[in-house]
Parts: sequence; structure tokens; C-alpha cells
Amino acid sequence: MNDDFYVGWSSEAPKGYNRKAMLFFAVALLSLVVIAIVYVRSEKGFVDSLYEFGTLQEVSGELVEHPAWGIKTSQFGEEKTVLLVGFGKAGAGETLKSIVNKNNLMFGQQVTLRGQVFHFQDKYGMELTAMEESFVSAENRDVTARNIKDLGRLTLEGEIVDPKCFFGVMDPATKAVHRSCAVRCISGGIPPVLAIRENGVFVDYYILNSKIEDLSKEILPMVGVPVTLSGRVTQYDDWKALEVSPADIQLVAQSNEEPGLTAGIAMCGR
Amino acid sequence: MSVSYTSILWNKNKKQYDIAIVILIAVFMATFTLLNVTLHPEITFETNLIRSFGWLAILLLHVILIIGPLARLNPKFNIVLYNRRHLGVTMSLIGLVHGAFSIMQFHGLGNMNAFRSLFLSNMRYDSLMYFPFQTLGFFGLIILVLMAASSHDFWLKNLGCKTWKALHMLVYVAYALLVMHIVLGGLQNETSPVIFGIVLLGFLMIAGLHIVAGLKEVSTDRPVKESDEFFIPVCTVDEISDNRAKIFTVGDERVAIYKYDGKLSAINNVCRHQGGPLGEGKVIDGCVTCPWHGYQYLPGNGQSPPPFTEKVETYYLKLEGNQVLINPKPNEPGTAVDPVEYE
Repeated sequence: MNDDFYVGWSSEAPKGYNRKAMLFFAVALLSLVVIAIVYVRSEKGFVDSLYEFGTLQEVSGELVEHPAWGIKTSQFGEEKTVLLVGFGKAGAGETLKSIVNKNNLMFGQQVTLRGQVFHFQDKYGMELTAMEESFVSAENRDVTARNIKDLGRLTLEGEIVDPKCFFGVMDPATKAVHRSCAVRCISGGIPPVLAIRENGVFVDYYILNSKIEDLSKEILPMVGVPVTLSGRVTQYDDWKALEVSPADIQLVAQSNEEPGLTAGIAMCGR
Repeated sequence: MSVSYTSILWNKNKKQYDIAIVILIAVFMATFTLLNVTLHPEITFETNLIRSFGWLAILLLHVILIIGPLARLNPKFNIVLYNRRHLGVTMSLIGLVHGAFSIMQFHGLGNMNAFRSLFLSNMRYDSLMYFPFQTLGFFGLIILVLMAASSHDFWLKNLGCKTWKALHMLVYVAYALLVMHIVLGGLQNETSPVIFGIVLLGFLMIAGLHIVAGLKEVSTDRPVKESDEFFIPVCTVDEISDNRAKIFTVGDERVAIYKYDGKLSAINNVCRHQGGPLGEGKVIDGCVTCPWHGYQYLPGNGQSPPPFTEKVETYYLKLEGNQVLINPKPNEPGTAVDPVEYE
């Protein structure tokens, strides 16, 4: 055997070569471990959102259509409206229309639906995973009054997100990494939500509504980037809705800090 | 070398190499995942999967890209170069897991085909900050997968060395695309300068090693002065070690002049297998042996010994005293040339 030359297909290698191979892999292994440690320690962390993947849960409450399809329920502590979304990156509209027609339901009626629940902070949502099979039962009860208030016209700065991913399925569900996904979800009918941050922490949410036929199509270029929106705000129980037209949406100049972190609510009059 | 195509010609070194690759992957994944679950218990399974596979793939690509220049700087690293194919295929499969899961996660189950969505959901191709970075990763991954799929000698033989080599040099394009994929994607969310520093350090390491290896090659290159003479002097016999060669640039070609068994022969420096530097090889069992993958050629006629069929150009040499002279005109590959004998 040659003691100073390695022949690739030979089963034996000179000792010096074997030592180099061991050194190479040892340094590579050490580097990978160090980088894994440094990277994970440098990650900024994740919000405490939850998507109960694989667990179908029954949620009972009052079926509401505004500001988006939902169930008003006290099942998760204080009374709140659980947003309803469809399977995958789809809104709940088609599925719910079908359920409503098939079972002669009315808005305000008590229903029980089954799906996968997701939540973040005090906001809850549910995916109608089994689509029309998500309907469990309905009963007639007195319709409770809704707390609907006009909060006047506001100008808000934040980021348009899709609530399904944002409140549970994905984390992080904002900014460049999530932009394409949010575009798919919103174009699929999931109601767009304006998320407001202050000092890097999410503090407030507005469901975007509009009189125009297809708001989602109009706002897609503005999804996942810092925007300023103006419009009339209406409180629907625990959710706020912002009535906007695409002309009222402006991109925010990039801050020096972090994209999408420029926050703050500027009230322009009520 | 093998006459017929076999998926893998196993030997002890290859097995040890593959065990080392498995250990690298297992230790990295365990460290990354356990640390993430401990320090960031809120992390989702999907996010950890996408990040861990993505980072492992790009780190292994760095490991792969430094092997070439390391072997140029120190021939003992040829031992890790020889089995680089296994590392490359493994890395592309890991990248594929990252890519497939990301496309499924971010683009699947929507109102548009996931691949169309990849290109059409985010149309900010005019913005650096909001650039659809996933498309960069997609094209980088396509290159890596094509390289992995064509890595076997079957494809080398059928595509031809030049085409195959050109395809595999695209690894640098893939690397550039993937670095931009990280900078315009992941680093927009994870804004720690430490993470940016890791990416920058990796780039500097690869660029630096390639520059140093290139400079070494330039410094050892011995261009022969052009002359109207039929034979041009290149060196003395003593300057060449026994069973080794010296490399000279004659015209536009690199030529290796070998000294063995009291004889001198000149052949083209480029191995017909993967373009390895034959002049950095050694004469073993009477054959010039390529340092990269052990392909062999007879120094007297530039032909691989039967039943192999590779051939390289040969050159006429002559001696004037101790001075070696070469005829710069190459002979057809495989042309027999009587070796020059020296005292």
C-alpha cells in the first residue's frame, strides 16, 4: 500500500489520510453543534398560540355572520366569538352556507359545530375540518342581543394577516416568511385581520370589512407588510371590525427597527 | 474504478464515511430540536421541522463546498473528497424535506396549485425587503436535486465530462440562491445579528478557501514560454520526483510530465472522469493514478488499462543533457509515444 497517496477505490487508506478524515468530520460535527446552539439561543422566540391539531372539539353557541362567520359562546371562559374558517386555506362561507341551507338554520340560532380549535391570547377560532359534516346539532333558543357599537373613524398602523395561521396554525405567521401563505388564506376566503403591535407585542386586532364585492382580492398586495388603514370601526361583541376601501390602505415607510413592528394607533377623530 | 455500473462500490472507507454523515445529521437534529423544545416550548412541530432541515441542508452544503479547496491545499483531504457524492445526495434529500414541507405548509390546501402559488402569491419581485424568497430556494433546490440525481458515473459517462462538470459547477449558483433565500426570508423574521453573522461567516469561509486554493494553483502553475522551436524547454529531470509529475501550461492546456522507472512521459493533466488533476497523482503499478477518484492511465499512451476506455492526449518529449523539452502540439488521445529514458 502507498503510504503517501490515497487511491479512492482502495479499501485501505494511509494513516495520515485517515487522521485527516477524522479531523475533518470532528471539526464539522463540532461546528454544526455550536451553530445549532448559537442559532437556537438567538431565536427571538415564539408566541404562545395553539392549534389543536388532530383534536376535533364540539363548540356550541350562537351562529353569527358579522363581522365574520363565528359562534358566540362562553365555552372558553368569558363570552367570545369563535371565528369559523374552512378546511385548509379556505374561508368558512361556502361550508356554512351549505350547512345553513341544509338544516334550515338562522343567524342567532344556537348551533353545535365540530372542528379543530385554535387560539392566541383571548382570540379563538375553529376550522370546520370535516366541512359540512362539521354540523352536529341546532336548537331554538331566544336570540341574545349583540353588543354592537360604532367607534368612529380611525387610522391604524399594523400588518394584515390571516387569522387562521396567525392565531394558531403557524408561528410566526407574519411578515416576509408567511406572506405567501397569508395571501393564499385570504384569497381563499378567510377574513383578513389587521394585527397591531406595540413594542413588538401584539395588542389589538381588527377584522377588515368592506362594502366592495371582493375586498380580499384588492388588498392582497398589502398583506404581510406594514400598512396604514383608515376607516370606520364597529365593535361586534369582543371583535372590532374596520370598514375599509383599498384606496384607504397605504404602505408604511420601512422603520429602522423591524418590518411590521411600527405600531401605534392614531385616532383621527370619531 | 469499475467496468460496469454498480449503485455503490462499498468498501471500508465508504462505510466509515457514511457512518460519519449519519452521526453529523443525528447530532445536529437532536441538538437543534432538544434545545428548541427546551428554550422555546411554544415552537410548533412544523416550524422546528422546517427550520432544522433547512439549516442542516445549508450547513452540509458549506461542508461540501469547503472539501474541494481543502483538497487542493492539502492532498490528504482527498479522502473526504472521494466520497463527497454521498454527502451531496444526503444534503439534497434533506433540502428536499425542507422544501417539500415548506411548499405544503405555505402553499398547499389553497385555492391555487401549490407550485403556481409559490410564484404568484407574493408578486413583490421589485422589492428586496418583501421579495418572494421562496422562489430562490426553489431554484436552488432544483439544482441540488438535479446534481444528486446525476451524480452517478452512469450520468457522467452519458452526459460527457464537460456537460456533467458544467451541471455540477451550478452548485455555486445554488449556493448563491440559497444564501439569498435565507437573507431575504428567514433573516427577515429572525433579525438577530448573531444569525446574520453565521450566514456571513459561512460565506466568507467558502469564498476565502476558494481564493486561497486558487492562488496556490496560480503560484504553482508553470507556464511554458512560447517559442517557434519545435521543442520547448520546461524543466530539468531532477525537478520531478520519482513516480510523480510536474504540471506545465503548454499553450492553453495543462500537461503533466511524469517521471517513473527511469523514464519520462507527458500526458494531458485533465482526468476524463471528473476533470481531476492527473499531475497531482502518482504512478502506481505502472499507471498514472488520479488523486480524486483513482482513475488510471498508462503514461506511455494516455489510455486507461483494458477493459477501461478513457484516453487523454499525449505529448512528445526529448532530453538535452538534463534538460526536459516538450513538443507543445498534443497527440490524439491515446496515441502511443515512446517514453524518454534518462540516465
